[in-house]
Amino acid sequence: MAGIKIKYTKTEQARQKKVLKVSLRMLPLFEAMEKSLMATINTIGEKILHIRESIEQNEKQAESWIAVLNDSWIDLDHFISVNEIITKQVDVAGVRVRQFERVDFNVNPIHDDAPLWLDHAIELMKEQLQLLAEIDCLQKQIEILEEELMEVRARVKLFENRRIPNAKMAIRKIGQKLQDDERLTIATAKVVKTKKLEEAVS
Amino acid sequence: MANMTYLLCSLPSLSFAQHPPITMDDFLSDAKAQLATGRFQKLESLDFREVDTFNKDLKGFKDIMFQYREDVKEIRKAKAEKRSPNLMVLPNEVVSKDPLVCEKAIMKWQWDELSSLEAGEHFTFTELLVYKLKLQMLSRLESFQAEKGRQVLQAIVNPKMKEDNS
Repeated sequence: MAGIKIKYTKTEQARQKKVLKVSLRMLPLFEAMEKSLMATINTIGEKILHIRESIEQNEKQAESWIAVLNDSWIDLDHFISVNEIITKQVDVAGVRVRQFERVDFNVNPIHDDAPLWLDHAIELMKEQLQLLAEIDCLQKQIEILEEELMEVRARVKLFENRRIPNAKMAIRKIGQKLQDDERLTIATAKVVKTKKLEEAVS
Repeated sequence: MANMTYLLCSLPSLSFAQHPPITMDDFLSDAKAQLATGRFQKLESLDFREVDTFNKDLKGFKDIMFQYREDVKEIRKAKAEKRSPNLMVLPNEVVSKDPLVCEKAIMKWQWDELSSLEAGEHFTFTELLVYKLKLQMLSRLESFQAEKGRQVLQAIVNPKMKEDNS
């Protein structure tokens, strides 16, 4: 409040009352938005954990045969690579983010004499690459939502700590000043009236 | 002939799934010293992965490998159609759910086929060709290492890791 100049007028009092009314109406909305964003971020975080578990589970399942991936006769890089990660734009907790759809792979054809393990390896890699791409997408969602959350928190603090108390104080001070002015006017009028009466009598 | 006999006698014997007792470079260097240029070139150019280029010395194995290709094709087809494959040359046990067990079983079968090809061959060029193919198989089997396989998987699914390593 320090440093803020208040105009002690009825117009200013009315303006401050309007500010207070709007702020009191907006605060719960921002608080709800904050809660919603926090819940959404937590949900996405849990989803990432589940996907990581799936990745670990896939690795465990492949553990018994993972040695064959180092086959000196086969260059796995040649068979599979990511062409594009397909996403779509969606609204999550009122924020626009990219949602994972699928991964578009470049898979080179497997020749008839290629070892059979190659089929399993490509399946495993497709699965892992899809899951990792999904995690990447979800992490980007969290980054965007956290930015939004910080903005919303700043607004909540602004309303809680500045706008609402400032408006309340301004209304009170203006009210007091206006009352004082009114009393002063009445007192002055009384003095003037008394003086006039005294002059008339004398 | 004497050189061939000397070469084959000097080479360490090979058994399936053992650590290669001789490197390919050492083998080729010994062979180069004992063989005529033409034969050495034939030996040097021989590659297990290029069955189509196998000459008449390995015709029996080449034919078997063509049938093997048909079996591999049939296994893939049967898997897609969710049925049991009808195999020509491969034993049914090779169709294992574990890809490493399956690959090793196929390689053992190929090893045995090569062994039967060299049966009766004593100090012949065919025996030397079979030796090279078996040595290639041992090198390949040696490359099946879990830790390195894990690294290959990580390098593909996590390209950043690959860039860091390089």
